[in-house]
Parts: sequence; structure tokens; C-alpha cells
Amino acid sequence: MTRLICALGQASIASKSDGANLIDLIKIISIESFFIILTVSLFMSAVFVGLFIWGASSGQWDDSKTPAHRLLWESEDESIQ
Amino acid sequence: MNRSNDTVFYDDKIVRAFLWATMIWGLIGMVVGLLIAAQLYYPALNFGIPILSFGRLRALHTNAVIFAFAGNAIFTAVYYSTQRLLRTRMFSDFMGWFHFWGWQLIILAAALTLPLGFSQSKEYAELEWPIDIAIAIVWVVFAVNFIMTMKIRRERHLYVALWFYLASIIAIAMLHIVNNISIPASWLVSYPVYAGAQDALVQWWYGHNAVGFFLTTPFLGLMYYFLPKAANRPVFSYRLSIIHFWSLVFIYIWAGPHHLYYSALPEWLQSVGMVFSIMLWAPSWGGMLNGLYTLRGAWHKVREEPILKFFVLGVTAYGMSTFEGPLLSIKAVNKLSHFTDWTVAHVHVGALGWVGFMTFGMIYYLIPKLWKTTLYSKTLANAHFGMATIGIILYAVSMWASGITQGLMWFATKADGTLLYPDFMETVIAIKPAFAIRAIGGVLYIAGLLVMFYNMFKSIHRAAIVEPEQLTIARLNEIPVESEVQSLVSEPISFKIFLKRLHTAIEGWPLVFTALSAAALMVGGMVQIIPMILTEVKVPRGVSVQPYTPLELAGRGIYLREGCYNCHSQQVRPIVEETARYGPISRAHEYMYDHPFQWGSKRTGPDLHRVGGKYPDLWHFRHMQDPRTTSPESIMPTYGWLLTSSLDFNSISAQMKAMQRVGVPYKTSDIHDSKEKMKAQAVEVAERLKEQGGIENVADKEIVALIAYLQRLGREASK
Repeated sequence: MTRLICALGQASIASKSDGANLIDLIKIISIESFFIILTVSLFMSAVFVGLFIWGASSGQWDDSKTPAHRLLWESEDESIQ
Repeated sequence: MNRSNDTVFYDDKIVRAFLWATMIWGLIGMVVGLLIAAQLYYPALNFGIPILSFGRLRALHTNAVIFAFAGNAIFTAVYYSTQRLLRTRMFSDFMGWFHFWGWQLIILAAALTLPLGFSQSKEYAELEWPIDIAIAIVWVVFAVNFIMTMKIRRERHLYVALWFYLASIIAIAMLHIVNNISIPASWLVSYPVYAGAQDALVQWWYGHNAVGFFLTTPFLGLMYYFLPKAANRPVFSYRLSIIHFWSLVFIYIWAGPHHLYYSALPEWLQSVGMVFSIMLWAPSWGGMLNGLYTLRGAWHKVREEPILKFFVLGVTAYGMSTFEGPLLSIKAVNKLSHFTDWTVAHVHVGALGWVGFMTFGMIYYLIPKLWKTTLYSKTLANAHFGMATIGIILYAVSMWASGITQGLMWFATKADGTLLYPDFMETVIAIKPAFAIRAIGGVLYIAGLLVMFYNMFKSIHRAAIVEPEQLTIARLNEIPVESEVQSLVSEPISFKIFLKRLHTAIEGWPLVFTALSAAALMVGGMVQIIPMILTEVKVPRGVSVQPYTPLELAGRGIYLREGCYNCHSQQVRPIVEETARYGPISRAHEYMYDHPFQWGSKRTGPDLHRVGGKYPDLWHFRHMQDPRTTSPESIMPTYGWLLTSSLDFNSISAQMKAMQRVGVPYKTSDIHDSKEKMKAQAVEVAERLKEQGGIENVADKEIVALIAYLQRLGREASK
């Protein structure tokens, strides 16, 4: 998986800069652990994107006023029996 | 089920437990910090005892204040506010207490192993592998408990604080696992699968994000809950708080390389780190202003209420440290600040100001609520605030002055281009007064904490009863609570039935099930993939780097055990004044067998990457025995025990085998003869010591291994 991303990353950079030597580009991206943290960071971002889509589509932020106030209404002192 | 009313018992017992743990571990962690601060001014305070030496205790200090003090403070905030925001008891009491006791045992294990020298020698990730596994398990239990509490919530909207908690929980799990993947050589010794520059990148990706997701986002969640509560004002802009959250989590992850400027890390990666670090300015300041503006129209309360004073100064410290962070991550600024006390000032404005004051504010808010009492004395709380504030100012100002002074002295040159202060010691002597002032600041901060302890004892003592669990009637809104999930919480059941019902409950919730499976898959996959790609060693053309000899490897083990990286870097940056002081620039391939990397982040003493061959063996011997004999005015601890402790010849083959597994090309025959080779080289070093200074009978002592390692450092460059 990581190797695949590594290869894709190199290929995409190679295709963008025309005339560049692929070998040089591979030399530039010579630090493999970057691809590990890149993978994990992207995965983490994907999780957050997923959460964002869920939050937005389920209307979490449709109301951007009352939650701030509700925090104060829900004082536990009022609800103690 | 009755849909109109529901009786809920919030679990405050566990909140009280986490609160006590925060206070107790906080005091211990800070006292250790004060001791090591004092050691820098007065090295005799190392007492010549291994477990009290700076290199070992510094790791204990950082781990205790981050994971014990801040960690327990986070859990206090999460367990208290989550129940109230979601209007339900935490999902599982069992998981809660497992989390509590598990975490305290982990801290206890850290407090024992770190002074004994069992350390992975990666900053803020020093704990050895069995403890790392325990952390992962406890963290996952915490995560499941938190996510399942969200599942059984009685409030549809997830308040912004909960998002901050959730992001912290997800991110810390991943960071911790990725950074700690290592191959054990024994129960308490292991080597990371990454080497050199690779290890450095992963470590600082972790280090930076640990600050982000352990010391920032959970405390922002705390801020967004407790600050409006204490001020009884809604947050200035709820919309801004949501923008704050999402922009922070998406930008933070990419800023880590700013810890590795001018290093062997590829240039483009350093630039990526810088760009994202500067982008962090915006959301951080948006959040700070949101916190402060929440007090609009309530500033008169700040004058009277110590809780709000702590929060205001805490949020201001957040603003200061998040202004300074991007500033320090501008490469040109970092050139001066890196390796100096400026970094130390920066983290302590964050730790003492932001994390500390937000925690104290929260605790003063919680004491009356959790113990059904009133605060014993507002005057004492105000005194605490005053003492701690002056303490922070003394700390920060002295370390800023120290860092900038030393940085400028390192780079000062005469008209002919030679160094103005070629002797490193001159730059240490110049900043020693700052060390004293910093320690005084620490004394004030801790004195304030002790006042808080007294105030807390008195307040709790006054409480008429240790109350029964708080009773709350919460309206159950239209969200149905699955009966099988509900049954987990509402009735006492055996653990076996609990697990069975838990499984049913999770299965009924596709999103969580998918997320957990994905996480499991990812961890499993990475465990296989990472060693595979990293064991391929790339040797640059025309260069041959030799792995460490058995004796050098053993010496490196001692270097790691004593925590030398806490004060000595191994990274000569491509800066002309630096090469003039230390020698040739450090190159990536020189570190290719360094598991873990030892670049360091602070130069309390000089860089060591080119120390090999600089001094005779005898110099190192005398220097370890008493640094003041070779370097008058030195503030380094004495390492007398290295001269008397027997060198361990027996575990070297296990260590080399572990190194072989992470990709160091030791031949099986090398490992087979390792003990003999190690003894032979030890005799060589011992004979040189005898020749140079008549030192007798040290061929089986640890000092010879350390000398062999130090003399090897940087020799690859001259080849």
C-alpha cells in the first residue's frame, strides 16, 4: 500500500514537471518514512473528513446560535431533584 | 420505556478520582522539574546518583507533566463535561475505572523505569515497549467508552467541546502507535524500526502532534465548556468555535517537520512544515479571541473571580504560545532559536500558562460542584493565581533572555570570520544567571500549587457529606436509546454478559463498527509493511558506512540510558558558524544505523556529532569522572558510576540480533563472536587509558564502551 502511494506520488510529480529526470525526482523523495506518516496523516484526515460530512449532513451545525446558550441552560443545579 | 422522563445518575466519583490524580501527579512532575532546573545552576544537586541525574530525570519530568498532570486533567474534563453535554452517564463504569487505574499504573511504571534508565530515548516517547502497549490498550478502552457514550446520548447536538475531545482521542491513538513501532531486544530494551533521518521525521511528526492533540485540542474542549460555564456567558461565536476546530485538525498534522530545519531531512519537506505552521496562526488566534470575547460584558466578574482569572491568563498564554510557535517555525528565526532555551520558554508558556492555568481554573470550578461545598478561600485562590503568574513571568522572561543570548553568542563572529566565543563554556556561563531566575519562577509556581492543595483540603473538609451520586432528571428527546445499549448502563451485569451485549450494540452501529475495523486493519497492515520497507538499506554511491562494533553499540546503549540527548545534539547544521565550531555538516547517510536517532533538540552542552577523535580517551574518562576537571565551570552531572559499574557483555548478542531485525547488516557470524570482539575492543580502550594516564582495571567497566562510542561519532564523515 505504502509502496503504491510512493510510486503514485513520484509519478504524479514526474508528469507535472516536464523534462525532469525521473531518477532525480526519486532522489528528492528519498525519505521513505515520509510515506508512512503521509499515509497515516491522510488516513487521519479522511477520518476527519468523514466525520465532517456526517456532521454537516446530519445537521449538526444548522443551528450555530442556540448550542452556545443551551450549555448554560443545562446547568445541573437546575436539574437536581 | 418512559419517554418523557429518565433518571440519570452522573458518575462524579470517577471525576473526583481523576481530579486528585491530576493534583498529585502535577505536584510530583513539577517538583522533579524544579530539581532538574536547579541542577543546571548547581550541578552538585545531581548527587552523583544515577537515578537523580539530569538526563534521566528530565524524561521523568516531561512524561509526568504531559501524561500524568495534563493527561489526568484531560480525563477530569472529559468525564465531567461529556456526561453533562450528552445528558447521560458514561457508557461503562467498568471501562472508566479500567481507564483510571490503567493510566495510574502506567504513570507508576514510568516513574520507576525512567529513573532506572529504561528509555527509548525519543523525546516524550521515552517509555519502553511494554508500557507503550499498555498505553495503547488503555487508550482504546477510553476511546470506546467515549464513543459509546456518544451513542447513548440524550442530546442530538454534539457541542464543540466534544468534537475537540473526539479528535484528540483519534489522533493520539494513531500517533502513539506509529511512533512506537519497535523491535524488542529484551523486556525493557527495544529499537525503533526507523533509523536516523527516518526516525527523526516520524518522531517529530509524533512530537509536534502530541503537543497539538494532547496539550492543545483537549484543553480547547475544556475551554469551550468550562469558560462559558464559569462566566455564565455563551461562547462569543459558536460558529467561530466550529471553524476553529475544523481548521485546526486539518492543518496541525502537517506542521511536524518544523522541528527539523537545517537537518538531513529533504529541503522540500522542511518547507511543507513551515507553510503549515504559519497557517496555524489563524485558527489559533481565532480560538483565543473567541475565548476572551466570551467574557465581553463580564469583565467585572474577572476582577472578583479567581476561576476566571486563571481562564483569562490561560487563554492569553494560548495566544502567546500559538503566536510564538509559528514565529519559531519560520526557518530564519529557527536558525537562532533552535537548540536554545527559547524553545524551553515557548513550551513552558504553553505548559505552565495554557495547560496549567486552564487546569487550575477547572479544578477551582469543580471543587464546589464535585464535593457539594464552597471554596474555602477565594483569597488563597487569588494568592495562588498571583504566585503562579509571577512564576510564569520569571520563567518565560529568563528563558527568552537565555535563549536569545546564547543563540547570538553561538553565531557571533569577529571581523575575520572566526568565532567570537569559540569556547562553548563562555556561552553557558553567560546564561547561568537565567537558570537561577528560572528556578525561582518554578518555586513560585509550585508554592502556588501547594496553596491550592491546602485550599482544596480545607474545602473538602468543610463539605457536610460526601454526597450520593448526583441525581438528575433529564428529558429524553426524540432520539431513541437502543434498549440493548441502555441495558448495559442501567443494571448491574456480569462482565461476560457485558461483552456479549457490547458486541451486539456495536454491531448495530455500522459507523463505529467500520471505524474500529478500519483502525484495526490499518494497525495490522502497518506492523507488516513498515519493517519491510525500512529494512532496505540504501547506501549512497561511493560511501561505506560501517555499523557500530559490539562495544560501540553497548556504549550507545549507555548514551541512551543516561539520556545524553537531553543536553547534547548530534546534528551539525549547514550554517557556517556551526561548521566552524563543530566540524563538517552532518549528512543523512551517517545516521543510517542509528536506531533511534539522537539528533537532540537542545544544546545545554555542545553538539557531539563530530566529537570522535577530538579528545584523547583519557579526557573522556576524566570528563565523565568529574566534568569540572576537564571543563571548569561545566554544569554537566558527574558520571562516576560509569567508572565502577560492570559492563554487560552478555546481552550484546540479543541487542545485535534486534538491530539485525530492524535492518542493520550484522552478519550472523558477527553476532556469534560479538562477546569476544567486544571484550577485545574494551581491552584496547583500557590499554590506551593506561598508557595515557595510568588508569588500571577498567576493561570491564561501562566507561570503556561509552568512550568507544563517543570516539566513533562522526568518523564516517572523514572517510
